[in-house]
Amino acid sequence: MDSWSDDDDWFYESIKRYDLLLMFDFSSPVKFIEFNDLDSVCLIFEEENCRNEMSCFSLPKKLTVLREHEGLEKDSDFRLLSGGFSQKSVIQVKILKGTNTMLASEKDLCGLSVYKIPSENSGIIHHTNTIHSELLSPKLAHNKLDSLAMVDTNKKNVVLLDTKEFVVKGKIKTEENEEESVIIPEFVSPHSLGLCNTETGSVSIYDTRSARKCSMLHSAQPFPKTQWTLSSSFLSTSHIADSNDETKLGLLSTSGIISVLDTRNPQHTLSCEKGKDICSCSAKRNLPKIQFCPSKFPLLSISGFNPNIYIYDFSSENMKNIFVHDGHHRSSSTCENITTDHVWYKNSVMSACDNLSVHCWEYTR
Amino acid sequence: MVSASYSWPIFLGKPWFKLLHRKFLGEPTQFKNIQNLPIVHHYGYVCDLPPGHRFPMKKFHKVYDFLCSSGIVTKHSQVIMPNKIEKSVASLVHTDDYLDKFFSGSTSTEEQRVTGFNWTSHLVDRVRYESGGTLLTTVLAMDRGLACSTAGGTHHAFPERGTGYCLLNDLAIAAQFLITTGKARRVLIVDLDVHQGDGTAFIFKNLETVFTFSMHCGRNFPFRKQESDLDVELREGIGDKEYMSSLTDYLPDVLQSFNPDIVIYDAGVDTHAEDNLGKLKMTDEGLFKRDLFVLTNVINRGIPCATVIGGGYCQDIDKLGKRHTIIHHAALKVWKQKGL
Repeated sequence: MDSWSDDDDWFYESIKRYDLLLMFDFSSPVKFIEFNDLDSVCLIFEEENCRNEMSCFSLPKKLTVLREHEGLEKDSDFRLLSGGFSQKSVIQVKILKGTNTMLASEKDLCGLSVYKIPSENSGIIHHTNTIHSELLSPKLAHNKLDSLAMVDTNKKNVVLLDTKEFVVKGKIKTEENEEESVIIPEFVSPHSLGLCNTETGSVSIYDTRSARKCSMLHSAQPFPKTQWTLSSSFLSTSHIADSNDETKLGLLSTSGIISVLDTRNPQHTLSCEKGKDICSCSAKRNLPKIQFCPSKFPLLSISGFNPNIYIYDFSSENMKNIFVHDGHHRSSSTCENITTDHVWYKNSVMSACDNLSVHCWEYTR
Repeated sequence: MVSASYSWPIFLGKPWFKLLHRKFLGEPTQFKNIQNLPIVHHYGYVCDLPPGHRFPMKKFHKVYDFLCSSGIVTKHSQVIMPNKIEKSVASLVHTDDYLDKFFSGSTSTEEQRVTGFNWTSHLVDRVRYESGGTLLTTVLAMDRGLACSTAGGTHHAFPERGTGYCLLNDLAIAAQFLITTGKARRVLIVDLDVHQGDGTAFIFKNLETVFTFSMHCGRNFPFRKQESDLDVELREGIGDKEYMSSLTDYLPDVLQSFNPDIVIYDAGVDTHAEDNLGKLKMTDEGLFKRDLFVLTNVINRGIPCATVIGGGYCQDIDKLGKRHTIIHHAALKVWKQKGL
């Protein structure tokens, strides 16, 4: 990608590169982006004074309407619906769609904090209760239905929470050879939970109904001093877009290696690529992020290495980088900024960077 | 923090689209979305206090909730969120030493005791949001003619210390900001809280461009009063009629003679008969008439008005929250009557 001489050149060129581009600056960096429903999004900001500010915004109409009607819409702003503060520093959040409930894993908390996102007549996102468990600051995964998996990276046990009743409905004991590693969970189907070993990039798939291991997948090649993260195409499918194939698993390393595997055929890597111009993540930063496009296109996106979001086409064995969103980079920046989160919304992407910027964009195909 | 927002429609053989230049989602962008009486509110106005604490902190949420449920406020087109006040702006009124201590948590036990609060970082946040809210309300009022905050009125704070639940003097900061930035040449502070605005009076005692008018109960805190430009001391126990009689005697003349560019109005409801601390006996109806009188007199003269809710202390937090919305009801009535 060419480097732009200054911001004005970039904006001029962006007319050709984007079908939609909305750019915002907030007063604090956004740490997490979570959609609440079809029309609203929750932004969790970087912590200050040991807590995070949480705000729920309605989405700009320009983003939510059909692309062919977008030009008729004037509304291009987020509008604040409600807000509040977390009890402690937030590690991860999951929003239970349709219930206005946010579950948060927080620093030094054994269990989860439950927050209510209010309806019309109140502006406060408030803490309602704490679900106590033996898991300290667990990593979370939600199957979009009624199960939340919580993994304590120290204890290596998985606790399954019924998200309708908020009771523990099962536990999975992971295998001993995983005890020394950091594990992160992600559902690959409604009843299949993937546990990614961040050191090796191997993913163990467990059936949550029987608590038994079904299969194991490996990343393309192990790399020393590298950490891995994962995402599944199952998570990206949504009733708001044409359903994508739900069988893909994406692995991303801090050195920029991307692997796409098929959960039905775990021995075969569908597509692989070492991201060009992607430097390894600093160990101090959070793990990078990989997401599948929710629409029918075989696309995935990665972020967390620098201010850019990279979009890849994995339809062939050699994955192809087809677009780079470099709008978060500012020519006036004196330090290296990093994207903090990105999520797909239909064919658009919402991305956040630690330089206070949040963008909603759809590149021109 | 300037909004560089602009857009241009381009036709490149594709359907029309607009590219929006970088926009700040702070105050400037929110400005243009306001289509009715501006209401300044932030969920950060509230912080946790120890159980049983006398200060009714949760009233700020109640005020907002009642405004939404009563239809006074439409969130999308009226509510605007302030930013936290910056130290550089607060230093227009407060000493650097005090601000450094307050922001960093270095105030002494005694200094904290007289404020009524123990220091926490969240307390600092809420104070900064509240002061930022009052400042934004005045800026909005200059732009739109009338604007209301759902908090504000911390008039007991002095340059070098806080007292009486007040840690930064939001009224003074806002007034001084307007003067310093040239947005206003003359600012009138009408303080109808039951307690004298002693901090504000002290801050502006030598400044001719800010006129402090405080009408309060002589027997209420602070017992050692400062000297406002105009102090009207009311005797203990008076009701609506006597109150309005005094207000009618003084306010129009002050407006006429001082001729301000903006009025900052502290509409404290602690003059109410049910207030735990106030020693007057006003009613809800009396408060409404009072607020309507102030706003009508100000707006009729073409003077912008920014309102804050001021003091109010009652164990029934719902009643208190509703009472604090009286000023917003009055403001909306004036807004509609005057076609602002």
